[in-house]
Amino acid sequence: MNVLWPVQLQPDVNAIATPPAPRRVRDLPGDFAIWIFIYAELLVFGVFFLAYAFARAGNVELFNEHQQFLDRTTGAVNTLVLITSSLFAVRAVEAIRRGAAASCSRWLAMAVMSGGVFVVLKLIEFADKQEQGITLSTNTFYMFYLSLTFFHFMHVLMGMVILSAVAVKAYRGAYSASRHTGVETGASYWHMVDLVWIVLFPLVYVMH
Amino acid sequence: MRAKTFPNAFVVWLILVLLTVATWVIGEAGLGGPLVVAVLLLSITLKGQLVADAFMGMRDVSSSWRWVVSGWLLIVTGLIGLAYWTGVH
Repeated sequence: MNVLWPVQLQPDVNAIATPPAPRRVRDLPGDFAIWIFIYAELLVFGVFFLAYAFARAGNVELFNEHQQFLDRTTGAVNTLVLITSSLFAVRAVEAIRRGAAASCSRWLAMAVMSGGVFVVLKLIEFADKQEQGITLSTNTFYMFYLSLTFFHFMHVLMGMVILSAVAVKAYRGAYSASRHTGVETGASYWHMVDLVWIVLFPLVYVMH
Repeated sequence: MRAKTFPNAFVVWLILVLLTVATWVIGEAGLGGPLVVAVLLLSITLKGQLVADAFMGMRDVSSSWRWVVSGWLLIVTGLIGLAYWTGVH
């Protein structure tokens, strides 16, 4: 028994011996592989955006005429939903860096629920277009509108699956303040989905 | 220090909300033309860089990785601007 150092006053020798390593400036958050995936996705979406923009240059009247029938309010609300869900993902990463796994899980669940709101609003929008008989074959504008938004929609679904899996793992205590690569990886993917929509909404719904 | 001077995530979220509302107002007002397109492209670039820096944490990584996202934003918005300019002329 150590009479000189009562238990509550004993120095944490391990903490002194192995201080937490400072985060290296060059490290990307999360798994490096997700960044290759993110950069590849950005490239694909970038090409898609430019194809839209240059196709529009040859059909300005057609694009302007049909763009005005899009629901800009739903598009704007969906932008707000995604940036808010991104903030939730940021909070989840901050929480796990403090070691607050339960809080991290809750923030991730809120991000997933926000993604759910996006999905519901987008499905309503797609159903409305379907009711009007609008398909990929209707004209070049709707071909781009439907394919671009549906392609992004699939990424939202994939992001929700990833964040849900990370949230469950966080809830089960799989992550800690020193080991949370999975949380950063999921959050990084989700921010990419947000980033792409930030370009897509003004480009397809507003710009003319 | 950079980390202290950069706005926190909530402030960035607030800026993103305001820019999104501004974009919606422009759309609802039916505004268009080269100047409006330029403003919207600047707004996209600013929003995208804020998401990359504050949300994705790119401001803490080495400049080469950060520039991939910034470069993507600049190239995409620049070429969209060129395409719209081509459509006008």
